[in-house]
Amino acid sequence: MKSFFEAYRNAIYRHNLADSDAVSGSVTYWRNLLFANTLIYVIPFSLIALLPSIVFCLNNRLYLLAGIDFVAFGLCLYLAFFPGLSVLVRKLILILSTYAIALVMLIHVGAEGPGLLFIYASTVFALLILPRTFAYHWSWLNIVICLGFAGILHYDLSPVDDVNQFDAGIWLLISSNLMFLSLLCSALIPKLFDGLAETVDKLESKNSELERFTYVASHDLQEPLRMVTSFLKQLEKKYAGQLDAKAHQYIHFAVDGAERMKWIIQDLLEYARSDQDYKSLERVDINELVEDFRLSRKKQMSSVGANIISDPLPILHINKTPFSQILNNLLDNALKYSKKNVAPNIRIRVSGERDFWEFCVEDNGIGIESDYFDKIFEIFQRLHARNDYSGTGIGLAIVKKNVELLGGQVWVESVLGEGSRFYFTLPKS
Amino acid sequence: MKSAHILLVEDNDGDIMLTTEALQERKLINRLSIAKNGKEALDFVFQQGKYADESLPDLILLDVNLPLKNGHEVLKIIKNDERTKKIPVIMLTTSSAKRDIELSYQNHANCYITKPVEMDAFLAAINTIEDFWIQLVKLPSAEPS
Repeated sequence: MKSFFEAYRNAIYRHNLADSDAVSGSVTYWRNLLFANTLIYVIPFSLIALLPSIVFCLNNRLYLLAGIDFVAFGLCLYLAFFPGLSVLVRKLILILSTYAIALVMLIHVGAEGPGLLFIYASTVFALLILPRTFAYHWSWLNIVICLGFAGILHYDLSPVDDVNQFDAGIWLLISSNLMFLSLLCSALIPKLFDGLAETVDKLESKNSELERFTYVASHDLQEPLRMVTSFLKQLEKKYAGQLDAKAHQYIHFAVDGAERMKWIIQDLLEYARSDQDYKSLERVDINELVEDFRLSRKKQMSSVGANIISDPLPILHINKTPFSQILNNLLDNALKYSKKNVAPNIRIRVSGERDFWEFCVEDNGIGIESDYFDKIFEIFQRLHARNDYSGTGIGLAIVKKNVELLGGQVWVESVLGEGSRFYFTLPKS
Repeated sequence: MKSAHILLVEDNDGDIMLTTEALQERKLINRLSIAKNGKEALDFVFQQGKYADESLPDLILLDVNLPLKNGHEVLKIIKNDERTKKIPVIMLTTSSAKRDIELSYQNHANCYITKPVEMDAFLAAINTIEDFWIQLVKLPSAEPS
């Protein structure tokens, strides 16, 4: 049942969210998502109103209304399951269908029917899913409809006699409430989105400022660090004869500290930089990436007898740099956190049945305690002393950042002492 | 064993010391002059102000990030002047930015070297510069043409 719903939902998303203008996270994107979700729920829930309505119409010979109901429902199904047409046109089709139903309800069922309710519902949905430039259009449309229907009542223009009995003056009184409410919504609902848009903008600019700051700070820190390391080494070299063992030890710790600082700064730079390579998509053979890794770590792998086996891996249309960072960091960890005296056996698996790829990097290393499954993905969080396993603790943070930026998720399954399986997903698009 | 007069243009005192010591390792240079900003470098090369009695250098090691006039501006001026454009200029800088590299070659730098971060690699780079530019390569005469 769950997978049926997922398939249904994914079909609707696929046809209604493909708008490349809507940057993920922007207000337009959320409006489009709301539209897609509206379709998801309108189709099943509307049957609650639709089925009794059609029975009622057929009993009372309101064939036009029954026809309009069918057409509107059919249009919703079309919007859900067929591609083509821009998102704006799709949204207008939905709103105008509900307006059409409302009009026919007014004219054929009368002022006591659900017509007014449908007009109001259409207005609210229109304000939520359509851009704010159309905000007041719906209110003016509603005013026109209300005045128009008053005219129909006054001049007995409805084909249904019972409808014409309703007093036009009383209708104007009742419908003035609709006019008031819809103007109120036209004024207020866009303000909600304005607030959202402002917050999103602020967050985005804060984020990019932070990234720039990290990059600049890391970059500027490298120079003084170079001075520290270089002169300590010169000291060691040129005054070797005049320094006792203790002095050498002092220098050693100082140099080591500076080296570590250098690694942290370089890792920070890489973490901050990893967002900037997102422009270009290319055709990447993942098998080649694995082979590149084997070649570049040849010495290290042969010294511990490591081997990497992989399933046949796909050729993907992706950003190469972030994906390589993900793969290399996971493979490096698998090599690094291996058991002493046990050759690391690393296995890369992939499955692609659903609409995403699921990769798994499995090792026979030291494993991770389940308490730490989330912590290891945090920046600079390590589980071991530096002397036991080298590194700054940024590898998995980079993996997580890149995977999420590519639209996927990453998690780990592991048993302490037996090995770990790192999973990450990538949407197929 | 040839010798040469090198002008080192560098604002960071630490780097001046490191580069000087590295250059003097093998005693190939018989004269090393230092300019600490762009203006001083130009005064030296054009024998202005306090450098009126100086002779033209055989080779210039030029950093990019300098106060007063940056390395790109100094390079442009040197390479556009009839008297000085023949002097080989080696950009020796921490920057590995593509923009800096491109701009340097556009302005006719003879070559561009990014200073290695590691001390040993830096020493090796200086030795390579000496081997190539002083031992192997023939330099133009230092006399103004």
